[in-house]
Amino acid sequence: MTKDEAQRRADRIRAFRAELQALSLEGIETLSDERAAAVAAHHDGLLRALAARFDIDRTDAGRRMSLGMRLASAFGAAALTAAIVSFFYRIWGGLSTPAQVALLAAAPLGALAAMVVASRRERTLYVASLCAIVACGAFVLQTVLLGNLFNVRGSPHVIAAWAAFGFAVSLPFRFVLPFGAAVGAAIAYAAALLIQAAGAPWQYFGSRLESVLVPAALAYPAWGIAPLELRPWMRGVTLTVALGALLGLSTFESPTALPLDAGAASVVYQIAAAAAAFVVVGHGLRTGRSEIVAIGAAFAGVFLLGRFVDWWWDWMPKYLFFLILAIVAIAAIWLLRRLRARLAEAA
Amino acid sequence: MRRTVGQGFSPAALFVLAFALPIVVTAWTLAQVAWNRSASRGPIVLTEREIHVPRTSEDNSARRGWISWQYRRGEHGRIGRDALAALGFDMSVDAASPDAPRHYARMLPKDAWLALELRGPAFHALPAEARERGSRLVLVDISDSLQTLVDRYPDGSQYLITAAVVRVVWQDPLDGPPYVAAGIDRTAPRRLHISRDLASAVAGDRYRVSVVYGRRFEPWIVAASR
Repeated sequence: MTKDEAQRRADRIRAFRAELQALSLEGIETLSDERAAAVAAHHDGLLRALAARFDIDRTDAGRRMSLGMRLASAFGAAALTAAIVSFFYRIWGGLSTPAQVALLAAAPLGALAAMVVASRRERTLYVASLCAIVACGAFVLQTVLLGNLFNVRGSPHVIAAWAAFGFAVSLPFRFVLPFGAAVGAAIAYAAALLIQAAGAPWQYFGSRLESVLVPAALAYPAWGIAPLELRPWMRGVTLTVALGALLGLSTFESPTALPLDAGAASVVYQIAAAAAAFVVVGHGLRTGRSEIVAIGAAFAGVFLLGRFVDWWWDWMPKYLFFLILAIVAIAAIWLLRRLRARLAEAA
Repeated sequence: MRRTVGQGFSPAALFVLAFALPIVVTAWTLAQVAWNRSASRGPIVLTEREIHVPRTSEDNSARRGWISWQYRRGEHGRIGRDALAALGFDMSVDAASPDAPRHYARMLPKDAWLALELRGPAFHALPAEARERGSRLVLVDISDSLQTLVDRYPDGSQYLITAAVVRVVWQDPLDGPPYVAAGIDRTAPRRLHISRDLASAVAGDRYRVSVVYGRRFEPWIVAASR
């Protein structure tokens, strides 16, 4: 059982108890006193065991606190990483070269050691998660500054090292932010190799978005190899990157690998983006994956808004433009409700 | 830490990888640097006109210098179609063609090698204004072959050879026909690190810096003076 599954079970138990109470107040007899006591005792024991093993939230207040702690942990990690980077740049010029090299190696190692110590002392792993993010930032800083220190010509393989480090740090404890960053780095590495194979410098993979779209789209189906708790994040990151690249290709007349001029290629990608919006949302609804539906819906919204602005903004009266947007939004709600009802029937 | 992750990667193995990576990266970088510095070309002596060192600030005490250079002027001076075609760019569209701006704008740049001449004939051919204030390094050649440039310009004290990213630039000047020429996006590395020991020498407005290039044509500064 994963932490998410444990949390969902706890939520179902809480909902079950609340519904039993509501039925009782409405005068509906459900369970006899003996059976109710047995079920309550079983649930109490189960909740204690789940809380001890997974640190789940047993109340709504606990859930809100956990969300707050997660946000604070992420913010703290970002702030601490920024502090370390700023500190390095402040003292950098006053250090000898051996001291600089030693400090750069010590930073990620120190953060890793802190992560391991924190994981043993704190069951919730919030501090360990913060240390993991700092370790990733420190490792990136190490590779960048070592290259600057010795005037090294860059290589795309450093991105592979970032991805490997992120995976190594995130997988043992299922830390989502370093994992997401590692997936992003792996896609960037593949994109860099792709653009390099096409004869361009590897740093320019962002200039040709097909080099980003292809590896992200290919990586998406591989979400099954990730641990259970991290699969939604792998799906989310690969899908967001792929759809983001598609949005860029469909919005801007940028250089393309297709044997068409930029304008024609943009039209091809607009058709592809429209189809992708339907496919992604439909896939999310059919598989019951809320993160896919959310990403697909956000992509569809941004894409449509971009197209409407491109087609109509300059000449259409503004009230009519926004009225059409509202009608499209209402139509989307109607369509999604029909889809949801159809899926519920099929289930 | 009893769970396994995916295809048999235990948490212990992942921790070993995480701790090993910073050490391996350091060792690999130092090994590359040692190999690079086991042979050298130069030194080439640059002044504040060729290598610009920004002032440090409280928040950024790192000192790194930008190498600047000038392009040759005029139709016969610029690096044009033939050199760009030799790099692998598709130069089939005439610069005067209506398709030219789009054709050349959609091209991605390419990695190449540059030869920059210091205070040579190319510099003396520049207009007086450019000679008076600008860098005395002038771009004289590009090639996708490092060895070609090394053979053509063996004098490391007068010719700086560096890796760079080159793109095709389409220009439509007011006083002439459209043309295409090589534009340099960036050199690699972009900037040169200046160590603590040499930092005080480049703190002023006028300085001289001796730059050496190694086996990998990665440079380092061996001396600096006011």
